[in-house]
Amino acid sequence: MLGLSLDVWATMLFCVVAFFGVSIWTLVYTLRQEERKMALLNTERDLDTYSPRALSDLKDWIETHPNPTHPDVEAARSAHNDCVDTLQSTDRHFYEWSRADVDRLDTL
Amino acid sequence: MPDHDVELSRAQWGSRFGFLMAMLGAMVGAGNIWRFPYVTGENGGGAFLLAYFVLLLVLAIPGLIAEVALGRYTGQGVIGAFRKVASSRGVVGLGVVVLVVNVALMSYYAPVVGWTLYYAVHSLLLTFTSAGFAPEAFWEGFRASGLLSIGTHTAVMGLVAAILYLGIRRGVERLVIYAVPGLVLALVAIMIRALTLPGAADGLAFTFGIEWGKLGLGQTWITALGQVLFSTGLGWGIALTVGSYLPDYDDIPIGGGVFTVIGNSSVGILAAFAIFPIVFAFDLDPGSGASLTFVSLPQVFPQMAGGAFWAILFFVGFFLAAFTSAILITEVSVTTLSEETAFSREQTVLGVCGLVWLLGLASAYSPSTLNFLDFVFGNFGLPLSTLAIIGVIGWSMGHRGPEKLRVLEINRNAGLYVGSIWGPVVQYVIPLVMLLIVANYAWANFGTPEMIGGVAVFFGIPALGYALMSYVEGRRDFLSRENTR
Repeated sequence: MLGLSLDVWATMLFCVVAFFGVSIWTLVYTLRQEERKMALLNTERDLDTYSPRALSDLKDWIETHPNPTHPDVEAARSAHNDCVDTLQSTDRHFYEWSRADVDRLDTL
Repeated sequence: MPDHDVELSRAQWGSRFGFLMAMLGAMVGAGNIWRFPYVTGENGGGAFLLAYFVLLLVLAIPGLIAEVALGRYTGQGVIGAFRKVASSRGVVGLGVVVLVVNVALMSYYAPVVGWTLYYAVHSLLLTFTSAGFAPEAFWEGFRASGLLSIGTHTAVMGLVAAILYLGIRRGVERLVIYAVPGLVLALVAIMIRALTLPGAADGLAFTFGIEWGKLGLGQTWITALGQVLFSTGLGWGIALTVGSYLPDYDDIPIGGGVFTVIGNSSVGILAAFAIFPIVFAFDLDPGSGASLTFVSLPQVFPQMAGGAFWAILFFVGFFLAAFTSAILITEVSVTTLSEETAFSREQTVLGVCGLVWLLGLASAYSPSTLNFLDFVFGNFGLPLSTLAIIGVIGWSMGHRGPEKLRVLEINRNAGLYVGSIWGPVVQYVIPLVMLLIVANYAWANFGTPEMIGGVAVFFGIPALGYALMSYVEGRRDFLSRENTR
């Protein structure tokens, strides 16, 4: 084993970090996120569904759609407004929303 | 999420862990164990792994995120999902393509799972460490016996039907949450033993040594592309189906994308750490594919201390890898047909498993049929299915279609923000790469019966799907109009 060349060790280290490391980290990370969501649901009874960047993208998509009465736009608007309402009616959030960010939000 | 918070009109995964293990169990199959380590070693080792890793990030993760998201967005199986996002009957017909390819795939995969079942049972009977055991004669005897092959194929389809009959939570989820960790633990245990064998270093040097020159060869990248797209099951309808049972509050990008893709590849690398040190320690041929698993490795176990234990770990783990894939591949057809027909889920399970069993008899009985179908559907059918699913997401979802899926579904409750660069990857890069791979296979096998069969599949099944769904959707519209009168 000790006779292995440096490039073999480097590749094995890369595999351990990039594959095993990332797999285990994402598994733990996503399961902990799930726990946080459940805890928030228990205390706040509702959950913010979009991060600040994701909500901004959603708003942009709604506003640039050529047909504002299209059912997809209605669904998007509803999703946007639900998230805004939740953010404004809950104290603790899943995503990193500041109070100032939330205060600036309006329903569409 | 707790049941009381969600009104269930359709089954859902009972836990986040269940969803993650279902995705991993579906994608990790026999190829991870007998093919991935060898392909890596033959194509430049570390250089290949680097190319492979880059392609996983650029293609597989965005592709699987798209497929899972389409499933959750529509909350339906393949045909229902296509109908919901695209109004054209021809596009709905592409759902039939995915369905036909899945049934065909299962018809020759089930007999292969039967091989693993046969060996797993014999490992438990301690056959491989018994006196006078002759691996080659054992394997040849099994393959030559049509009765044994058909018997194990029948047993596999019976087990698949039993699990699917119990449903998503009580059947599929209950199996995968034990089977997938069991497989990983088995490979870890074998890896520890393998790395302590004299001569193990040669196996590691073969798989992980770097030939930087190979990184500049087109063939290395084509092989890596094929490995990326085939080993992750992208566009086979599995991720779409698994995603259709994902609750609204769950994340897609991490679970459906990053974890599934990297986790699946990790099992392949774990297999390289576990098996190739054994292969080189006992001077076996690393490129012998199926016979490496079924002939060469059984020679080794009697020579190892505690060989019966290692044989059980290896073959039971191998069976679990193949079996969980079989369950989820069949689930694609069960979910879709139970939604599209008047039959209950239970009736559909029996019908689909019965059909797969019947079609699989030819592959179970005749190795040449199995090899022919594997070539035709593996090289032409599966890319066609990927093109159908990714094509629908990229081109049939209306105004800024992929962007709609990204802003409405992928980034909703996501644990990882997906940026707008994702759209062009799904719309342009993945379809172009799939076409390139198919053209490469066709060119490399130009004029052979396999190539002709593949081309017939590539153009014939979409034509069949279009004709069938034109009739079915036309009749559905007619009945709908009649009812509203």
